[in-house]
Amino acid sequence: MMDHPIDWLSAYIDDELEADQRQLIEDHLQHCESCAAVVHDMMELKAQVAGFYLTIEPPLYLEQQVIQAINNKSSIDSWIRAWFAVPLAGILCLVTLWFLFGPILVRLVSALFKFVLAAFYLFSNMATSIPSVFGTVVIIAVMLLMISGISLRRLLRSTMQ
Amino acid sequence: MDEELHRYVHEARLGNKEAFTELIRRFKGNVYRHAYGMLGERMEAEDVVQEAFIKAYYSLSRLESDYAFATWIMRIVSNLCLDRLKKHPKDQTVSNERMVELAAEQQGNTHLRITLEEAMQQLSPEHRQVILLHDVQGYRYEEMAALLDVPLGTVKSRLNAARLALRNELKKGDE
Repeated sequence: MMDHPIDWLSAYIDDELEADQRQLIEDHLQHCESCAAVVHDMMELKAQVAGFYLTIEPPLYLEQQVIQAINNKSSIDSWIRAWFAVPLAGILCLVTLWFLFGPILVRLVSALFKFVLAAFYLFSNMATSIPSVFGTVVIIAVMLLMISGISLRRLLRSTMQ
Repeated sequence: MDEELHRYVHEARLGNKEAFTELIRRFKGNVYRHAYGMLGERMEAEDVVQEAFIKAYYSLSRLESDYAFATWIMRIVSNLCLDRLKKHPKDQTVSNERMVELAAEQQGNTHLRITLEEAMQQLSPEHRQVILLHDVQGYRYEEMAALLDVPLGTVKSRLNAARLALRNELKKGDE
């Protein structure tokens, strides 16, 4: 008589044993009540598990939700790609311009810098030599500053409300 | 049937969303039942099933054969469930809310269903997984070994241990 073949009982009820193993189990079950009880319980459990879980139904709208999520993900991905593409294209343009017109660009920038410097020097000279021009500029600057301050305050108030 | 499925998988691989929708329609029952069995909650199961199908959509090019879709999607959802259970181990008791929900859903045989589900949730995720794959999804041992990437002997012993554990849990409930 074999020991209790408890490790094989599950494979036995699932019909996953070789013919000789199966025969051994069947012989054993004929005179072993405890193993026969385990086999009986396992078969019952198997049917109960299938019976219960097969009644579970998925949500009706699941496929729409998945496709919606895929569409959203695709549009987010394309936005991310676009946001990466714009600065990348800008950098590429700058690099290309540098390679093609590098020396000309250097001269252009230095000329522009000299011009701005000269204009600044001229303007400061005018402002100090002619007091009325200096005074007008200061008044206009103060007025612009006040108008900007008031506008900013109104803007902040309206957004807070 | 198989040819039609093959066609849908093939078209979905080419980015046809209609074909992929049809695949979801066909497999959502099996996938959802597995996720629900593993996680024990409808909302979580729904999340994982969505995640599984989205993952499948973006990895369709890696599917070895158009005919292997069913096993492949089941492997994806199975792994996602295990990952989720590892990240957020569940409090293994059925909540009062869940009891009321179940009772409302299943007017007949309520006691049996709650007890069985409770007992299932007491098992380890690996034990639940093999029971669900075999008894609910109908996979044979060899298929399960391939799906879970474990030796055939492991499937045999794991399913045997899982059923004995489930039997013990239910016997506890009877005492």
